Amino acid sequence: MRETLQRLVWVGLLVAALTPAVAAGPAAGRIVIGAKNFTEQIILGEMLAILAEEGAGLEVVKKFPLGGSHICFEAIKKGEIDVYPEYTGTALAAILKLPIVPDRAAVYKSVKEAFEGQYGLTVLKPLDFNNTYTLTLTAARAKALSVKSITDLVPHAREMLLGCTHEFVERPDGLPGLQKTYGIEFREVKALDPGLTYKALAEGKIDVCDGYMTDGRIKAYNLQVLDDDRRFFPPYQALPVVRTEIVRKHPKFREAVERLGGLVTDEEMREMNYAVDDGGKTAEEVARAYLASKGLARHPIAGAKVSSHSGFLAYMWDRRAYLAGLTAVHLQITGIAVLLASLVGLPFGILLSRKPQLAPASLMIINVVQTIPSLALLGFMVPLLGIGAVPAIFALFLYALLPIVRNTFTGIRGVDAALLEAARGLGMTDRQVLFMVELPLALPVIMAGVRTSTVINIGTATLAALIGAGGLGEPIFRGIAMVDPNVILSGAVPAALLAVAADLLLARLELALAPRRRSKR
Amino acid sequence: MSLEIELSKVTKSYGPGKTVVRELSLVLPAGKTLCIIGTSGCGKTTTLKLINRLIEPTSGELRIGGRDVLGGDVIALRRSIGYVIQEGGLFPHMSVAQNVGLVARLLAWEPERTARRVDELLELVNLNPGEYRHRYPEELSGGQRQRVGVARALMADPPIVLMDEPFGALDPITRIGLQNEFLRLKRELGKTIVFVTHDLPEAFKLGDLILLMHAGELMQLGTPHELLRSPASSFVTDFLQAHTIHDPQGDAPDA
Ligand SMILES: Nc1ncnc2c1ncn2[C@@H]1O[C@H](COP(=O)(O)OP(=O)(O)OP(=O)(O)O)[C@@H](O)[C@H]1O
Ligand SMILES: [Mg+2]
Repeated sequence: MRETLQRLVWVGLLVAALTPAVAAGPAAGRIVIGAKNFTEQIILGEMLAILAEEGAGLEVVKKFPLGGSHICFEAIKKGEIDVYPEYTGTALAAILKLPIVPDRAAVYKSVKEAFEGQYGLTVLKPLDFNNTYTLTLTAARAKALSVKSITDLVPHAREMLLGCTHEFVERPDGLPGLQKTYGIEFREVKALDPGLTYKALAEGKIDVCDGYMTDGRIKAYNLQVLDDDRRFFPPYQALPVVRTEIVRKHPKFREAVERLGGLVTDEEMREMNYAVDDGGKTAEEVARAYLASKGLARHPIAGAKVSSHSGFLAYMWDRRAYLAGLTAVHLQITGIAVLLASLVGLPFGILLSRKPQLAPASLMIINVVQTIPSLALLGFMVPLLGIGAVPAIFALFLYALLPIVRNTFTGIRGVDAALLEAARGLGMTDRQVLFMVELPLALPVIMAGVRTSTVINIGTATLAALIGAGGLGEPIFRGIAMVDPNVILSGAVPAALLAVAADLLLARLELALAPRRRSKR
Repeated sequence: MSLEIELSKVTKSYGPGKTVVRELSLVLPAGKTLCIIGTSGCGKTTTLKLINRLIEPTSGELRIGGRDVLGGDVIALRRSIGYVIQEGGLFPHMSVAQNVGLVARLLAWEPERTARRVDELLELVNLNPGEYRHRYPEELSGGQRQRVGVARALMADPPIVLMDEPFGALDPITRIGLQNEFLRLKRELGKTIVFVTHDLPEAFKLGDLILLMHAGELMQLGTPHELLRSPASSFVTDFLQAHTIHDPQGDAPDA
């Protein structure tokens, strides 16, 4: 299973990188599954994958975790993914930006109508549980302040630090709406990754955090959920959203997924989340166990996989094929990006060295691109190029450009003027001066630029996982979502090693290419 | 082979009030050596670069071997003129053989012909080819670099050689050694040479003709003997007086 998965991820990404949207494989068809970057979504994503494979005989490509609701929605609109689990309230408030209403059926109806009418998407039957937003604080603190509802919290909020997800800060059904409804103001708001908020709360680093009702850690960390006494938050039922085209092409997939409709209670979802977050289980195991218990999937082969990871190295060894595949993908996206940046940056740097009056403005523009935070740049790419390897490579290409252009320019400009004069005086043409004198002498500086680009890009490319490009960021973000250091490290350690190895390799290449200045003695 | 160089009313100006060479006219007969002297910034290097068109004149005419060269192919012109700069101007990423053979590479010579010529030239400048051919510039002394620079300029046997303070950065002993070698090469090769220096004794020792410049203008052009015997102005007298000069024709300086 791991093997197949790894192979599928590999093939999917390769195909996505080179010729987007080309289907292949002997199965009845191929389906690309997305999910957001937190545990519950990953479990739901795995459920969809199992149902697609076993219920509909489809070949599955998993593109998750993706970096948030908007990335998932953009991706499905562009056909980069075929299905992902959304929530009714999120679709209503954050995506469709419709007024918030409390009634489950009304919310479902508006979302279904809008998605199916405007976007060519089909909304399948919702699951039972309601993963509504809440505010939480430690039970001890809540007791001390005798706070039970959000209204109770209002007078204390001015002394409190709210830690919450980035989405919560922005979404109308998050903090802005909450402030409007309750008039609540916090001393400070800090945006954190969803995997980290409860831990920060339990450790006293923040006072309040946004919570998900079905999050197992609410119980585990002994947190108090505040009652939404003014009924501000809409219902958030999980909702499989599928591209209509896929529903038509694979009716069996629809059938399989709709069997999940009305299933999974709050308590069941909470248990599954907890099993992954703190119980040492993988999302896939948990998803399979649940589906099997409802007769929707085969039972796992007994004893086939023991998930409790005995140690980091053993964990890495278990997943060596998967990690090797991710490393290859990682190398591929950074390699292509740096190669493209060299192909563009080198001539451009040469051009600037010929027309230095253009240099300040050009370098400034490239520099501005460089200062765009990597996550934001990747985010910008999604509406333009969709998700997957292409937008990731393009963003990484933009990042790689500056060091290469700048070093080519300064390297060439740094060549001793007397040598250039000697070269011209001997009768070299401009081309000959460039290729015989300037480029060879500037090479160490140019190579230093390529090295910088490569090392930076290997690091930045981990973020590319958030837009479905795969690579070593995949385990890192899964690990963050599931608060599992082993999973994080299984991506981070190879990424770091890769950066070091690439640096050493390029240093060697530089030596091999560098103009010799001393004879071999 | 050598060619006559003729400058007539050559002016180089970088804008109003920035004229660095003014109405310079001179004829250097084929096979003769002209030494240009003068205070720093007087236009010596500029004059030299006007000849191989590294600097294009603002006005005036330049004839080489009687032919006007200002309109012609600048690359071909430069390949027919040897050029030596201070410290040799050797390319640090090329070996001695590659530096010397560079012009041959530009002219696409056969490798064997290039190799033969490189060895010949290294011997001419008193460097043992076997020992120095594969060295890199940073493995040479200043004097050795200078010799390689001269060898490189002579590669394609150009009729004209331009040298800009080639011995400027060397200690007096090495300098005198190279000057003597220069005299030998001059006799053996018979090329037309323009040699910039700000060392008056060097100019008098090496030059058949001396051009004394000041602020972009010709102060006097003549043989060393003529400069000493009949200085054209008090400026020339003062300039010569600042140094003790040995008249190559045997007369004591006219103090
Ligand atoms: N590109 C330029 N633009 C403006 N002025 C210049 C330029 N190049 C040279 N000059 C000026 O021309 C004058 C002559 O310069 P040149 O290099 O010919 O002097 P030089 O006699 O060789 O001096 P030195 O003995 O110091 O080498 C100097 O005053 C210099 O400042
Ligand atoms: Mg000079």
